[in-house]
This record gives sequence, C-alpha cells and structure tokens, in this order.
Amino acid sequence: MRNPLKLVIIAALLLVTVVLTLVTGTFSLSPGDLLDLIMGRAGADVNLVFYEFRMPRVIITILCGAALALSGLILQVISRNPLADPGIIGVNAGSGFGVVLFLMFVSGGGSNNLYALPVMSFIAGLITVLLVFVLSFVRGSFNSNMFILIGIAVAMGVTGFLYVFTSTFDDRQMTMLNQYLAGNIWGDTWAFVVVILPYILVVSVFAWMKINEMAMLNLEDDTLRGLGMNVNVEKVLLIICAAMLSSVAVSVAGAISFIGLIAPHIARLLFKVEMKFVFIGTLGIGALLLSVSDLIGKLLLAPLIIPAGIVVALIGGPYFIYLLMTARKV
Amino acid sequence: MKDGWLVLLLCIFAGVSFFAAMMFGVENYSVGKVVDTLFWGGELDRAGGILYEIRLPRVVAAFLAGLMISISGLIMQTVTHNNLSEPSILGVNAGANFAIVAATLVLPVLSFAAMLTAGFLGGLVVGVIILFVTRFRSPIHLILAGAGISLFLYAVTDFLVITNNLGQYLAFFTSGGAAGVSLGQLGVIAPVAAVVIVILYVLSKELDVFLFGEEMLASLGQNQRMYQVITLVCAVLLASMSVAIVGNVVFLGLLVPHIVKMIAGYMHRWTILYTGLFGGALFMLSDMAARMLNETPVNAIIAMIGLPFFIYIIRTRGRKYA
Repeated sequence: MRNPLKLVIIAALLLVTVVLTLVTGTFSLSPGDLLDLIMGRAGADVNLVFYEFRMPRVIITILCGAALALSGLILQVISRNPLADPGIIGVNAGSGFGVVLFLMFVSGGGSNNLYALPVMSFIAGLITVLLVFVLSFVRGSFNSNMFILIGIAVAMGVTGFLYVFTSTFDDRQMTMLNQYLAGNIWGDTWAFVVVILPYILVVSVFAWMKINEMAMLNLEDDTLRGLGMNVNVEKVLLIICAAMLSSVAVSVAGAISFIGLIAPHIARLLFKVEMKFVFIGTLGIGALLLSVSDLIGKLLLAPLIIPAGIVVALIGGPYFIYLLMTARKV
Repeated sequence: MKDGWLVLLLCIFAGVSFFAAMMFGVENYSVGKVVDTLFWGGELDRAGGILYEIRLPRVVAAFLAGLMISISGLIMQTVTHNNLSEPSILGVNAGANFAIVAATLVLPVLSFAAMLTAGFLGGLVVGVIILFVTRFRSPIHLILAGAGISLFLYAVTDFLVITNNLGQYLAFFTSGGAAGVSLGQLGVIAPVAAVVIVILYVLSKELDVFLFGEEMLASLGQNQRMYQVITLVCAVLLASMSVAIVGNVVFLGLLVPHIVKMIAGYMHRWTILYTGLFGGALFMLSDMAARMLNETPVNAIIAMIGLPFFIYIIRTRGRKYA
C-alpha cells in the first residue's frame, strides 16, 4: 500500500472517532439533531452540548494525543531505544507533583484559580525532564541510556514523594489527585484550546524543521560528527521540544503513558524509514489512540467514566509487553 | 573478626532505632516508660496501652518491612546480575499490589494469609515474565521492562479501583505506611520471613558464586538455573509480604544493599545480615520521621531520601549500562 494512502486511512479513522465522540454520551444526539446543527436551527441544549462540551474536548484530546506521540518519537529517536516514553521517564510524575503543590498551596478545594493548575503542572513537568536531561551528561556529552535510566529513577522517586503532603488532604483533594494521575482529561474548554493549539503547532513545526537530523540520528554519534553535525546541540534542541510537548499535554489531559511509546512504533511499522511519513503518521496515530481511548472510556461502563489514561494503559500495556518480547536490541 | 564487630554495631544501631521509634511520635514517651511497658508488663495505663497496642506493632512492622525489602533487593541484584535491580523497579511490587486488590475484590472477606498468598503469586508472575522476556538482553532492557509493566499494572489496579469504588484501598497501597498493622498479622509474616531468610543464608555460598557472572557459573558447574529460581522465589516472597503490610516502597531495596556493599564487601554470609539489620533500622527511623511530620506517608520520605542516592548510583556504578 502506498504511504499517502495509509495516511488517508488514519485520517478517516480519526474522523469517524471524532464524529462518534461528538454524538454519543449521556446526552446522545440523533442524526436529525446533527442535521439541525448543520442547518443552524438546533435547539440551545443541542448547541451547548455540541459546541461547549464535546467539541473542545475532542480537539484537546486530538492535540494532546498528537503531542504525546511526537514527544515519544523524538525521545525514541534520540535515545535509539524503541521503549522510551515520556511517561516512563518522569514527565507524568513531575506534572503530578505540580498538581500536589497546587492543591497544597494555591487552591485547597481545587475549585478556584483553575487556570493556575495546568500552568503549575506544566512547569513542574518541564523542570523534571530538564533536570533528568542535565543529569544525563557523562563527561560533557549527552548519554541517552543514562537519560532513560535517570528518567525512570526520577519517575519512581517523584511518584513516591508525590504523596508527601497528602496526609493533610481531604477527600475531595485526594479524589482530584487520583483522577489526575489516572489520566482524566479535564482541561476541556475552549480557553485551553486557544492556548494549547498554537503552542503545540509552533513546537511541532520546529520539530518538523529538524526532521533531517531526526532521520540521521540512528547513525553512530561519531559518524554524525564526521558528517559535520553538532550532535549535542541537535539532541538538546530536540529533547527540549519533546519535554515541552509532553508536559503541556499531560498538564491538561492528566498523567497518560504509553501513547508516546505505541504511536511512533506503529508509525514505524507502517512507514518504515521514511521519516516524513513516520512523523506525520505518529501525530495521526497518537491523536487517534487518545481519542479512541476517551471514547471507549466514556461508553464502556456508561454512565461511569473511565479516565482515558487507564484505557490507554489497558491497550498499551499488552502491546508494550509484546514489544519487550520482540525487540531484539535495546 | 571485623565482620563480627560490624554485626554487633548494626545490632546496637537497630536496637537504638527501635527505642527511638518507640519513644517519638505524635506523643513522646520516656525510655523508662518504653522499657516498663515492654518488659515488666503488669497492668497497662493509657500510655502503656497506646505503646503496646498501636506503636509496638507499627514499629515491628516497619522493622520487618525494611528488613524484607532490603534483603529482597540484595538477592535480586545478585541473581539478575544487575546493580539496579530492586522489587519496585522490577515490577514485583506492582504485581503483588494488583493481585492483592484483585483478590480482595473477588473475595471481600479474605484472610490475611490468603491476601499474602495472592500478593506472592502476583509478584511471582511479574518477576517470571520480566526475567523471561529480558533474559538475554541488556540490563537497561530489564529496567525499562519493569517500569513499563509497573505502569501497566498500576493502571489495571486503578481501573479495578475506580469501577468498584475502592478509593480508600488504593490510597493505602499507593502511599502506604506501617500504621494499622496488627500483631496477629505480624505473627503470620515473621515466621515465614524467618524461614525464607534462613534458606537464603544457607544458600549464601551459591549466591556468592553468582557474582562471578554467567560464564563462570557455567564453567564451575553450578546448577545455576535451580539456584536462580529458588533464591528469586525467596526474594519475591519477601517483597510481596512487605507490599501487603506497608504498600509500595521505592528505592529502599536498592539503597541499603549498595551502602552495605560499599562498606562491607560482597560475601552474602555477611551482607544478608547487614542489609537486613540496616534496612530494618532505616525503615523504623523513616517511619518515626513520618509520624513526627504530621503523619506524612513514610514511603514519600524514603523516596525523597532515595532518589538522590539512586541517581548517584546510576551515575557511578550504572555507567557500564549507559
């Protein structure tokens, strides 16, 4: 099958998922309602559900899925390790700690200053990754295996001391934290879309401009230096992109793992070595995975909503184990 | 000779930690009060009651948990030929945690022993999977596998918790702590732990041989697969029992054996004793600190101490993996 055709199929699947997400739920919309919406003669309630509740949520889901996937692709390319994932190396834990700090010091009930929450979790996630990054230099050059090891250590350690203030939390705060850690997409209003859309777009375009470097990074560092690439600088720039993408995604969508691991992997299975297609495919598959997970979480045990992060992990975990069994060299 | 002194020193350290842990907390008691309550018995007043009924089980649980986690970490490091192995890193804790929650769901009135068994089986399955899929691969593969499987299992556990409204249960296992353990439960765990540790102690020469590496093992003619299985089952058993009483403790099983090996070398005959005593004492002290800091989860405190140390270990001893 030709590569562009595969991309079209991914886009079509994404479109189907989006439409299904828009019409299903506690307040389900009939085809008639949809027709009314398009003709602009729908009732106020339909308009409200469609434009104020579901539309921004779908957009956020797509954006975050794509951002996490791209972040994973960059990390895998840089570390030359097919098992790298932003969640495994500490972004989620760092952002979670930001949420704890927010609940502790900014808003006890978690109800006011709601926009401070993503900002704090974003900053905490970003600082965590950059810290891991700084610690993984060995004798002046960036060592990607060290990056992964220290990332795992930091993820575990920060996940551990996340709970340091929780003895003072009441039930509501604890529920909020648990929901966050389970990957419940909560930043689903237009305000978040307005901030996040341009941000992710800019970072992704920047990463796109580095696509030739990404394609070459599977060569040895020495070879690349011989070819005239400043390997350290390129890796630093790309890692910062990855950190910015994943921490913003996690800060509005909650702690979601495995998307950054699976999406690039599927993209590589589909598109082999053509980096441009792998890049776009990764974005599409990431968006598809997260929106499908959100849809499944909404429908599976309705009216109970299962956080998208858990659904992703339920799908991604077995895939990860399969990868472990088959990956020849790590 | 030197080793004998070190054991004595660690015994004293553990003893002092025990008394400190008994004395300090939300309410403080004098040494005299503690000694009176523990050794003279008689009728208990209110303070004595608190000491005997609440604090003693908690301190003993902390000691046992620290001891079990540390020895388990030591054995895993030796047998997997990996300096960074540890029950929580290999996903054994996540497996035990998942199995305990799942078992509680299936049979709500589960006895403590049955809960321990479930945890053990869960931890064992994960341990076997991880060792199987990573047997011939690099140490970093082992650690990534553990991290990924842990993430997966915690998500599955979360799923069970959310769909069955077990919020309280989850809060306990994720943040953990030695509070709320009864002497009866310790009476189940202590004998099992003792037997397991004796087995490991008897096998200490075989464990020493593991340190030579796989090729040497083969040429020496040791039946390494058998000893690997026996010792790992022991290590998983210790780790899963600690999960059942204090939840998921990260890094302790890594930190303690490393400190011990830096000071006292590698012979298991001694390191098993040192790690056990030192780990137990450390956990009692951390739990005491947790009590004094407004009942902060003790696992958070250990993670906070352990993280810088872990990074240090990775940067010094783990460099050969990177």
